[in-house]
Amino acid sequence: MNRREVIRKVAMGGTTLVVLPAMLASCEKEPDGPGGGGNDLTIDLGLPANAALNNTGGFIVTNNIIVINTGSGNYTALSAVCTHAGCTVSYSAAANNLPCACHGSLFAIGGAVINGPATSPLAVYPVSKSGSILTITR
Amino acid sequence: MIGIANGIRQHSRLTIAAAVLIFAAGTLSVSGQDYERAFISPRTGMTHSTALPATGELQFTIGHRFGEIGGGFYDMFGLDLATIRLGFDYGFSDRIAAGAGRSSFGKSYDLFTKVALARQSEGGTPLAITGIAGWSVNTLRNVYPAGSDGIVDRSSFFIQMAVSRRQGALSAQVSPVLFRNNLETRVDEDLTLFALPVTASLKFSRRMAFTMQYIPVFRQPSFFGQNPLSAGLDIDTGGHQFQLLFSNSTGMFEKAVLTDTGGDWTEGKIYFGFNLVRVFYLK
Repeated sequence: MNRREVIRKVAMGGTTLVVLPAMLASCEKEPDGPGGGGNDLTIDLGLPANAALNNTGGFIVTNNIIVINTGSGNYTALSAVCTHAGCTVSYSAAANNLPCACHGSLFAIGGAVINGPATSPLAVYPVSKSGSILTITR
Repeated sequence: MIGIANGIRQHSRLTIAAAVLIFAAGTLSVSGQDYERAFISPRTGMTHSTALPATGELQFTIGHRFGEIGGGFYDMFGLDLATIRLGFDYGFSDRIAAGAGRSSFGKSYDLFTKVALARQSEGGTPLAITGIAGWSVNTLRNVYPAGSDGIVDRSSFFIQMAVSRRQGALSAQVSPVLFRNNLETRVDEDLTLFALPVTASLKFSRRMAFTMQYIPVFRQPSFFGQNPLSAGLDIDTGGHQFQLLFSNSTGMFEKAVLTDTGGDWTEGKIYFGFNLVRVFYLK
């Protein structure tokens, strides 16, 4: 191994050692977004970003939680992460269920699996409302 | 809704126009000199590479991404939960290729075209540049709302410019991509993203290379999971290419990788997968 090869291999190894931890660090989970305090997530229904929740059947996905206006002033919050492969589910107001567009899993509004491939239910979180603020306890 | 429909039509036209331009550029004169290949396979990590199949070469790719490794023995560490993609890449000339695939992810079909715009060669161009444009459609039932479940709503498009360089045993690629999903059901509107996949590959023997890829995604929607990150081993046996990888994504085409990466390396939510590429010579 000549001098040039040694320098090249050391440079490659050094680059890998520097770049790899930096890349992994950049994947660290971020803290809860605005409204997140401890394990509670608060949602201000007055904010434009949450406007969908003012209509029956409307929903938003935030902080890996899907929040749904189920009508009559009631709200439901579930984990938005499909238990099959980690995709984010959506909500079908017409069918009142939660489909996953990745592999077709289907969940009931109560979190139970209707159709696989998912085999585990979505977690359901308690929701309370005070004025225009929803509080979701995780 | 009319605004969204107009937006969809406008963006679709732009994407098609870009694809035509990329394709037309590939019909320009071809340099006859030998060139460096940063990557052997048309795919590296979770995205396209600058490499194209040779003229008349058909590459059949069988891709698997398994379930979460942390799932334990019950799911055989993810082996019971496979997502598959079968794909074909064909080289129409040494500068133009096209391909198609079918994935169990969204029961999706995808089409793409790749054009080599420049190639790295000694004394010539220092970089390889390949333009790529593609389309995919999700055909799952009961996911799209009634009245918005036509092929246009279900379609996604991307245009990408992959730029690579090989320097000795080290290859690197940057491949900015503009992606559009006509109807994203989780936000109930269209979605446009930009991502900048960065890939590095270190060849440590004549037939084996270690590859890492990180894809920062910009304009992330509220439901976005994690930026995709993969690490893997590429093995070239001559007639076959094996790509083994660990990733936080189970996606094998752009829509799946850019919008549905739900794993998290820091929480151990990673997936094992492989691509097996078989090469056939039709000319």
